[in-house]
Amino acid sequence: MTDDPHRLPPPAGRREVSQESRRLPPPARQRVTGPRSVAPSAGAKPVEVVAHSRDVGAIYLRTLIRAQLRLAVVCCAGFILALTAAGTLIATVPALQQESLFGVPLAWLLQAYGLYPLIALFAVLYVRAAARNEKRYRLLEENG
Amino acid sequence: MSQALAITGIGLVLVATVVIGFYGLRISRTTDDLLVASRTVSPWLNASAISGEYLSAATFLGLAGLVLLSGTDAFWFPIGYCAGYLLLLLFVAAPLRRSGARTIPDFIEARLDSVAARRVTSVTVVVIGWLYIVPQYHGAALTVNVVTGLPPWVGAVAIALIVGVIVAAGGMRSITFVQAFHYWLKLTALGIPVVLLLIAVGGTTPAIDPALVFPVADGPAGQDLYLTASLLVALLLGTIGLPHVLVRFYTNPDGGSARRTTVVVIVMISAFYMLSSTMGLIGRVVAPDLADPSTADSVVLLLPSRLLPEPAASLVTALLVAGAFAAFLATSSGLVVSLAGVVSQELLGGGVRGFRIAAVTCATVPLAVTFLTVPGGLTNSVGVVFVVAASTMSPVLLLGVWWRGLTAGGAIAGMVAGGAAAALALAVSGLGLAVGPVAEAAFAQPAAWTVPLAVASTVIVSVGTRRRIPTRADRYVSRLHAPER
Repeated sequence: MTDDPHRLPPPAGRREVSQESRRLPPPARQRVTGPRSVAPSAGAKPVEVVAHSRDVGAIYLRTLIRAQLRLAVVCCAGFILALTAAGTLIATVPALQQESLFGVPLAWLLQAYGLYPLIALFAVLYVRAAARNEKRYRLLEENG
Repeated sequence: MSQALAITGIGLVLVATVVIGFYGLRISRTTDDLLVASRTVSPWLNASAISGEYLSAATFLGLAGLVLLSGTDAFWFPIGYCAGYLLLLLFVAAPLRRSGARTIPDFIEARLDSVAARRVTSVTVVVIGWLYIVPQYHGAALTVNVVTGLPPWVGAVAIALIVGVIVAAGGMRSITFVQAFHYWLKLTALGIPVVLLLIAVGGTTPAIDPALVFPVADGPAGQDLYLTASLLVALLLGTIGLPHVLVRFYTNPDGGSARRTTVVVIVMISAFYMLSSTMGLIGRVVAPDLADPSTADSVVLLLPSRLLPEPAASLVTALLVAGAFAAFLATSSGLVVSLAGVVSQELLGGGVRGFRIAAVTCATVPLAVTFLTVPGGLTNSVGVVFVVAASTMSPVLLLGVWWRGLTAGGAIAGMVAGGAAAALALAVSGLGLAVGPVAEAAFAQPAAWTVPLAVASTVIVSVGTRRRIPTRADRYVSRLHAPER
């Protein structure tokens, strides 16, 4: 949303460079005779370097998206398996139907209270793994 | 005595709600303030607000009633509501926050570049929201009637009025504070009575016969596999498609905090559901005579007078009534905020004035429906909402976030096919037209086939119209998953 006051506008210099990269032919090869004495200013960054890093950035992002989707699907499948297994055990183990605690059969107690920790467990595992994926992406983007 | 206390309890909740609601008024100035609290809400406040909004009449009163009626089948409802947040966390919480859209139709329009898809989404959102508000009004009507003897319409009208006024005046900013307050109020209003009732049950009742109170047939061993699985499909996926749930995630500052908020929400609502389930178990021991569809939903309100001496019984009842009212208020006000956002943008130009008109309209239309319909069991009425949301909104949102190939035609086809199938199933089941046990089960819990139908329609039509994939889809989807700097 452009009217969001908390979001900064995109850096202006970057967009100009990308348009330039489309217009200009690739610069001709130059012989480098010695180390440069002056660091290039941000605006004068060679065009092909910027274009190259943007392509790599897109690849990193695609990798991140695939990793996040894989993580979500694995967590979801794992949770459904765990829930099915727990539900089946609660419904079928004879001892759980017969034994009771405070007059309530164990199967009833487990069904009423026992499945929530499972949900919270998968939630915490997922959030940590997802944050790790994003951290890895940020590191790659900064260094690459 | 007890009536006066109960009415005082309701009065205090309403006064507190209005005071907190108007405290936020001073900061509500722009449309962004009204709709999404300018995205400055912290994870803990936001998680309290989401939980406060999510815990409705269905779990405050209805869950214990259903445990009393049908046994452990009922526990799958809160487990499904809670696990629904897990799926929301896994697949949509952070991406939708990063979309920057304010409402579900905003997201669909930006993602699919289609006004037609936006219109269909808006209609779907409003239908889901109204379906969800009606049981809240029914719950209010029931509570007022049981506790004070006043005619049922009083409770429903009171809730509709106060919700319309609060939302129109303060919008989302004050709603965030109101709902965070409502979560803690509901937890206290259920927690204290549960502890007192457990002490009373432990101290007074003669040894119960577990085989009679908790028969195996009503327990986990007696559950029907198809009905349970299909119900879970609806509850798990339905949460993603609820209009008032998604709009709350836009108030997180970034995608990471949207995830952390969701984890806190899962813990908070689990705590509440455990208390509510305990009420159901106590109900089975103490009040088996209420196990009738017409009275079961009132069991929570009637337990204190059976177990506790006066004046404790009246005080505890008043506390429960206050909590129940917080439940109706929080859920219906959250729904009205999101519906009013959609309706005002769609029909009234999207300004602050349009939002206020839409808020009042969205609070009063379900009131008419409430008077025209007969209250069913609260838990099952809310279950219906999840079936509809899971068959319409959820597949489109999931595919929109993860699949670049989704097209406007596919999204519309999915919502229409899923919605029509769900409506057909509910009609057949409601009118008792299904013949034979297989058909009865399939129409009573239809999510197991309506959701795949909606997904298949969406995918097939999207593939068929793949030339219409919006040109910026690739960039938009990438943006949803790129972490903030």
